[in-house]
Amino acid sequence: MKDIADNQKKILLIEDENFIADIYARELTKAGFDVKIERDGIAGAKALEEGTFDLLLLDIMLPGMHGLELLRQWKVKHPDNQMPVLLLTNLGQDEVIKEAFTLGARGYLIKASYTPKQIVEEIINTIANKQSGTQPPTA
Amino acid sequence: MATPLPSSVRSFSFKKSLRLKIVLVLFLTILFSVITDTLLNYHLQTFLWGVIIHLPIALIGSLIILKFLKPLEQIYQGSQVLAKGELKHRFNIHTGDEIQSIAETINEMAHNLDQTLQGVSQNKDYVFSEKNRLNAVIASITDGVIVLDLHRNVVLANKAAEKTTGYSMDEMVGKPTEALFVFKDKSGAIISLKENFPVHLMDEKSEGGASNIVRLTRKDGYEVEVELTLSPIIDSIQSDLGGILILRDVTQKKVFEQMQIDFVSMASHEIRTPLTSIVNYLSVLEEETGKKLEAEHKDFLDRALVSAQQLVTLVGNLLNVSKIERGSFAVSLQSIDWKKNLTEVVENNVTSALQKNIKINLNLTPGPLPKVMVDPIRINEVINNLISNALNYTKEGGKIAVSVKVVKDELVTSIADTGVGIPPEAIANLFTKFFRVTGALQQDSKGTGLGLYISKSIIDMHHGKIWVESQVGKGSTFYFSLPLANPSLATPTITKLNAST
Repeated sequence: MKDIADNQKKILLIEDENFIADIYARELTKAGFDVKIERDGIAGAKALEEGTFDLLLLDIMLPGMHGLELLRQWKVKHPDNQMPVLLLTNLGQDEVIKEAFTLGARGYLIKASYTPKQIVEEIINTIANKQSGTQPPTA
Repeated sequence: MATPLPSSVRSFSFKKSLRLKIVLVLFLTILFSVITDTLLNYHLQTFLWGVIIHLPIALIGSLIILKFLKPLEQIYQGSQVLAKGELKHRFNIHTGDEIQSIAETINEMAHNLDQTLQGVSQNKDYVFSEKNRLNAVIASITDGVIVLDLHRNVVLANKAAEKTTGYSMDEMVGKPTEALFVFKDKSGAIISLKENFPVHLMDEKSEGGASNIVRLTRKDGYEVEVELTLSPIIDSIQSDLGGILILRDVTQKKVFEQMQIDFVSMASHEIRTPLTSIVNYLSVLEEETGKKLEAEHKDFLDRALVSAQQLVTLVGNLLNVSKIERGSFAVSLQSIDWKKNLTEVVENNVTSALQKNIKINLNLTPGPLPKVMVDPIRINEVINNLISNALNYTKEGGKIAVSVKVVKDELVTSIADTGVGIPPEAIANLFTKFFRVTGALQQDSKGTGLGLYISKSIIDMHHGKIWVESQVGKGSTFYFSLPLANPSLATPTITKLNAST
């Protein structure tokens, strides 16, 4: 965890529920991440266009734009971007999970079933996996 | 075109001029006759006699002429009434001559005119009611309907079109579609209506009814996915209507249909949202302050967290039951190493077992096991559920044993505990929905009555069986069997549980 803090990783968290967004941001910041929170789909898409992030933590049921739609549009615009995306939601439909992976999501976490600590662990693992891969880091 | 005179003037001119003229002409004729007669005879006396004789003749003649003129006057006055629009007026003239024929002809004309006008009036009402009906129909179409003229300017738009595009009808009418709407295809490229959907009446390229799923940028900048249909208006006689745009908002349809979100799913989502906060905040609180708290308070916190997590499980179970009932619960089967899978699942439960001071053993025979076709996520739900039940109904210091063996062409896995056991009368209903064992089991029970029902459904989908052997006070052993993978069926398959089972 320390090496992550040394080389601070940026995470974009798109989550409309304030309580949930706050606790995730707190735990991720504590774990050494630089967290940017957006609370609706449109603002999230804008932030994604304007900034560079090491990981996107994306809710699905969002005001403005559906999370899967946001991901779809982003993938269309940036097909080569390797930023890992973890979907974070309470929708448990198989169809949603399938769609999420089709759109290139790295993981899918049911919020209610994970503690913030477990979420942080998942994020650390996801970023580590990405860096151990053969893909060069994207700008 | 001459301005018609006021009827009073015309009436005056008839009375004063024609009648007087006739009488005057009569008098003058007689006068000339008398004067001529006198001049021819050169006698004043004869003249006076002539006057005396001719005057009554002139008067009688005048009266006869006036009587003859009366029906003509009647026709004149009647025609004035008709001219005012009182088409029910009829002439009642029985002179037996041409004047009666004229009167009858006018009567017939008036009748025909009256009928025609009545027909026109009815048609007008009909046209109005048709227009209202048409407006009501267009307004109540749930798809957005936008009518365009030949220059692709908006002529009309219904409520649904206002809702889909974000523009009011007033904002749209008279403006070209290009100035209002941006349509994009799936890759984000702008679609030109002009190129893709010609509206010109005689344009042979026009293809009515062709529809495409496109993205429409609304007035507020949000994008919606619409099924766009443009039909050219072909039979628009004497109008400049060019075509109809039909916008069906498929954003919601797509989102909801594709994901088959039903009420239970949405309710689960809504319940899970605050529940996530509860679990999150409690877990952080416990992590950071647990050690500083008094034992009793830490216990309170633990209980709250355990309860919240149980609620999470319950919601997940309800969601699964809902899927099972809808027939949308599916398993994606793949060939897996059962020994490895079972080991992982058991290891994940060791911590909870240790917390309750229960020993959990995995009894495996040496050597590899035959492969089985399973959906690892679903089948692990079954194992976890059975272990969790065993932990719940086994007292501290008890034991749980997980074993596996090949019986004929099946792999049978068992989870045995040294718990309270299940009364024989309860066993028959154990795998039904919401069934809870009453009595001793109930007191410490933490179950939802759904776990075994879901487990049975999952095992059914794997074409296996699930059953239990139990003795009250000694413990229970749950078994489930899975058919061995047929090498010829090694490709992954997806099976769905029939909703009726």
